[in-house]
Amino acid sequence: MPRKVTYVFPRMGYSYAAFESFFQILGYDVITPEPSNSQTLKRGVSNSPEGMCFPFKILLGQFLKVLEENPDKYFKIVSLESYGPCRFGYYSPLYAKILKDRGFDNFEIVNVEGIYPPWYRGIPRFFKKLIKLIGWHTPWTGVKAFLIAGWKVYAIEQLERKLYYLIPREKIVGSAEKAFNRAFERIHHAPNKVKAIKEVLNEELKRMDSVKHVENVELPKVGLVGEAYMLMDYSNNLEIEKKLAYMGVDVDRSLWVTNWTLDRIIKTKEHLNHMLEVNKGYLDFFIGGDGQESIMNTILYKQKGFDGVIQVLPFGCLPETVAKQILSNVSEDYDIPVLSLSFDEQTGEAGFITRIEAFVDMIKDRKAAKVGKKKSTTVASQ
Amino acid sequence: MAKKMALGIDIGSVTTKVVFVDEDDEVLEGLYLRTKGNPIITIKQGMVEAYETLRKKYGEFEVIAVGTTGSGRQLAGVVVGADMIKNEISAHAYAAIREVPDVSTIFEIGGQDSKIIFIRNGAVVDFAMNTVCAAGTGSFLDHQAERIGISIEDFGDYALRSENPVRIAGRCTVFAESDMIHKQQMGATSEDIIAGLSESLVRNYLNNLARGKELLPTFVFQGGVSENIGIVRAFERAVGHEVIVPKNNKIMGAWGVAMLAKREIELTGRSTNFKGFKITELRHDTRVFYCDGCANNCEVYEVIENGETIAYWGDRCGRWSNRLTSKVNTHRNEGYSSVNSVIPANHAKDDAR
Ligand code: SF4
Ligand code: SF4
Repeated sequence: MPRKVTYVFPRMGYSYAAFESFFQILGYDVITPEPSNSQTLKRGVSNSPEGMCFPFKILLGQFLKVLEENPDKYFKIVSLESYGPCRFGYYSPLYAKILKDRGFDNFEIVNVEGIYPPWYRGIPRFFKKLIKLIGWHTPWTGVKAFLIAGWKVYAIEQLERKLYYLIPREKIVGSAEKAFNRAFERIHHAPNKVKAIKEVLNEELKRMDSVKHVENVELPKVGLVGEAYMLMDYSNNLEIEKKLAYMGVDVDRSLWVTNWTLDRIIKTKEHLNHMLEVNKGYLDFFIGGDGQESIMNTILYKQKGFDGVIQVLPFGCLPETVAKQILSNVSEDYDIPVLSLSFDEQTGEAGFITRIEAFVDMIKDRKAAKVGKKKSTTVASQ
Repeated sequence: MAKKMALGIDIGSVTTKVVFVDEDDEVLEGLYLRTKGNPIITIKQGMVEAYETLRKKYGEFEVIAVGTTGSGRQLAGVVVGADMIKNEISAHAYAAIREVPDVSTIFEIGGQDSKIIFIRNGAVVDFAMNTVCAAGTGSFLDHQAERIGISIEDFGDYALRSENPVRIAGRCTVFAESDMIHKQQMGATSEDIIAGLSESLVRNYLNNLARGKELLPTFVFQGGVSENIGIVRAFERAVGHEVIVPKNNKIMGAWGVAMLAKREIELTGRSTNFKGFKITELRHDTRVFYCDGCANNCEVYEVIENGETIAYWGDRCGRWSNRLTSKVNTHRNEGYSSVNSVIPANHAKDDAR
């Protein structure tokens, strides 16, 4: 008899709730790794090659902790993968090797990847991997798992957007977060039916709206770009969105699970063409990861009237390091402040907060100066 | 009538600055102290010392606003009761702009970190900060002075006397140090070595922080290391332009935040949170622990005053900080106060229309 399988997947932001449901619908046990903390980071960093990029180390630490704590289970470790050109291409084989070397044999690594050209090879390859990932199921179960997970992802993102809208506007500090936490848990544990999820979402959005807050205030706007994983995982980016929101900023993240999936997997062509057009003169070829997106989104943020952009750069990430250099030109040409923040296990909370605070002060001043000029009225002068 | 003053405190890991300003933002008393191990004790010593001097000079006085900055700003803010807790970049820039209104580039080198701030039309437009590498900071110079066996105060004069500064290689302290020893053994004079060291420090600083950025005059150089005339000259040579060392150069951060706090109080009409000089007699302890409430495993900081906890921070969910209802500026309140300051500013705009 085959051993019972438990799934473990990369934990990323709040989306883990949806992935849990996905595997549960397929009838598997699933363990969500802990959010990054000192223990997972220590494991990840000390067992990775030093030159690997930071997200690799983070995830390795998360997987290691799960394996250590459950020696009696057999795991399928889900890992995303692309064929490069950055280090993303090596993630799975390297995990397999490191975990084996550490003496674990109760796991296998399964990975998902996009459909790569040529299509006649890409599509069969995609399905082969998919079957390896989720096993054989009736088509309906498979479709349902994707559908429900998709809905949950969508619902959570709606709640998150609401949260970041409310925090800088709330009257009582912490009230929006409280409402959000409750709403998130309800979606997390909502029955796996589309109708139920929709209902809970609408109810909770309304409830969040009733948090006492001020409407119609114009706040400085900051866009976030950078490497997808770090950007979307609050436990690794030191909750940059929340921190900015609490500083009185309207914050917008450029990458979400939904638009990432849409752009990268479903509407790849349009996305690429759009990107080439926007990035003209800066970067016109694929450098891996999300480097091109970082540049495109910075330009788009400027066009949408944002006051500043923060780039989240995992230490050791090639695409983002390239993007960082180009972004300093974009920043100058388009007259938009860009702050690049590099993250690794030593990133101290203190230096991090100092930088984002100073950045926020800076864009507030810039904004005040602009408003002052346009309307030629005196804004509370210094 | 009692004289009105604002207090600014800048706590770094190596030095602590305590400043009192009058109603015209002029510095009445400014202290530059070593943060010896315990930052809270250092602040208290500074406050007591300043209090006595000020009492002698001005008799009765009243503190109307308090600001804190530096890496220990939050702790200091909680202990003294601050009205404004500001990052060091904004505080330093504010003071520099007050002193040299047409400044475009600020070099700041302190005991343990260094920063560069770019200003256009009196507003910060860009900045960079180095907190990881000690190569370009005061601690490094102190250490080298000790090694060569001269006092750090004489460092600058030595550098000025040098006729051929030796070139000291080094992206990092370790290399710089070994190269220096080597040059010493080769018979270079202390003067030339010190001058070489000054140039290497400036080169490192500019390489790290100003890479690819346009350096425009007017230049201002501040922070503890700006006392050192050798480094000032090295900067001037590197940028090919005069570099101004403003008055109050060593205490700019504390001065800036004192002014900012005062402005905040004036704009909002609130009264100060200052707890009074009595805090110098209270006992304060700090504690760091890992919360095991959930997998986040937050590193939580606790500040205890006379046996009673007055602040927590570092807890992501508010499990600890929500237990306290005090008005002190913990991280969360800090966020709140900036939200507050945005809203009145908007109302102000509405009125103006
Ligand atoms: S995008 Fe960056 S962080 Fe992600 S795999 Fe590639 S190199 Fe690593
Ligand atoms: S402080 Fe809150 S979030 Fe942090 S470990 Fe404790 S319970 Fe978890």
